[in-house]
Amino acid sequence: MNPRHILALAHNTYRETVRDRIFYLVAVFGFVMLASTAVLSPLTVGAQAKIMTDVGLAAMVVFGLLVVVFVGSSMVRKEMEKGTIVTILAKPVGRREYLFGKFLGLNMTLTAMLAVMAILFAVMLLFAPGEFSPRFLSAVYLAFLELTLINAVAVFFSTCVSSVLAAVFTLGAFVVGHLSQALREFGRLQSGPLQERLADAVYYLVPNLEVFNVRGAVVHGDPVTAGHLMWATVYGVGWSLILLILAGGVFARKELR
Amino acid sequence: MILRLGRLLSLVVLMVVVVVSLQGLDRETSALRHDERLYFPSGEFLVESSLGFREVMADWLWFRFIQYYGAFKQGGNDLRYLGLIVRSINRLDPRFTEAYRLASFIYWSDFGQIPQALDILRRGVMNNPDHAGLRFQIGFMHYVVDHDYPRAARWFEMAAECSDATDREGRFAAFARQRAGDDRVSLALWSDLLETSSSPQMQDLAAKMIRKLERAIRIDKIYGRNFVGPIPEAF
Repeated sequence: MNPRHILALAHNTYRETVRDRIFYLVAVFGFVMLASTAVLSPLTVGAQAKIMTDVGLAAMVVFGLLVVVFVGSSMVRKEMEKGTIVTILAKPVGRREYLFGKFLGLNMTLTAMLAVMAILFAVMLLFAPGEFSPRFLSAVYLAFLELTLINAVAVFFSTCVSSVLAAVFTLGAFVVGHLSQALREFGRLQSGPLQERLADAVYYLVPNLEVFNVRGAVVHGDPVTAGHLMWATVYGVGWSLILLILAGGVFARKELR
Repeated sequence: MILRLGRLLSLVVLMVVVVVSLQGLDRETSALRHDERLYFPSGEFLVESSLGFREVMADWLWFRFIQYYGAFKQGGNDLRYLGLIVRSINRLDPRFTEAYRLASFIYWSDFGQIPQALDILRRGVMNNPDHAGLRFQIGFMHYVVDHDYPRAARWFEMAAECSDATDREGRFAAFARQRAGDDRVSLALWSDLLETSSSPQMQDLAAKMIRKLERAIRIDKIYGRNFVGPIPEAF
């Protein structure tokens, strides 16, 4: 794989998303933050700082998820349907390079979006009763890792099924990813050892997205340990690579017209 | 031109139809909405269904809680589901301390149900062992409601040990100890406040209270606790 090819494709994908006016979502984020400070403040009764922080950190994940689901799941399929993919692959660009480039491009968009949203969030906290803490950056970083993983899921599904199905499956993966711990606990409550092992298997075979959720902890002033950040990085990057390799395998066998 | 006017008119008509139909629906469902909390799911279910957005869901329930309480104050309901809503908020975000404090205050001030109010605060303390405000509120309730000064003092002292404690907790602990008859402990607490407080007002108050307590202890030592009568000027 040639890194120059991947970077060129990533840059192109980034420009494409910018042209699609994805960054309008950042404006919506700003509006949500304003609403949570100005409009909702009479209802917060002493909890304004907490609610603002909760809403801000959660909105970053929600908007990132929207981008991944709607852009990521149609990214590859759109080019396959338009036939533009053939033009790209006719050049000395490998199929895996193409997928990695697409994935990286959307991740660049996510990085830019999260960075702008984090700055907006910090600015809003300066004007509201809340207080920006460096702890919040760990939550933003873990949200980025979570979205990276979901992006890999979207890329994987976009190589196998139609755009709509890929979007549905990606959302499904997000839901299951947040429920995997509960599924495991549910399995442990069952009487038989088979159910327990099955639940354990599901737990390890499905990405556990709760490991990236430290929003509650940082809002209440708990620090996120360096160990947690390190393991979450390993876990997120590991899963993303697994999914991209699988996607590459599927995509390499795909017949393109 | 006529076509454009026609389109505009039809848009306005349709808008009116939409608004009128929504008003009709609001009237139809107002009776249902009154009892909607009957379908309020449990906190356990909400935790799983929130998909990692537990705190935001707790915030949303907090808004509902405030509105529900506001409606109660205007005679719109009897706060029947207060406990259910508060438990759900606590389950979703056990460290949302305002929820414990307000719910306990409502049980105390609106219903006079002190055991329930204390139960909620104790649950809050269990989930937030290092939060001074909740311990202080328990102490305050013992101080004001059942005048159990030794118990109130213990809670104030525990509150004063928390990392987010201010002078307030120590001051109340010292006052409660004095009310409970533990002058020596009260003296120690005021001395501690005099040393640790950065507020000049608090230092003045502590110095004044120390003088008063030392005098009381001296009188007690010489004349006994039950002494009634003129105290010599020397004291």
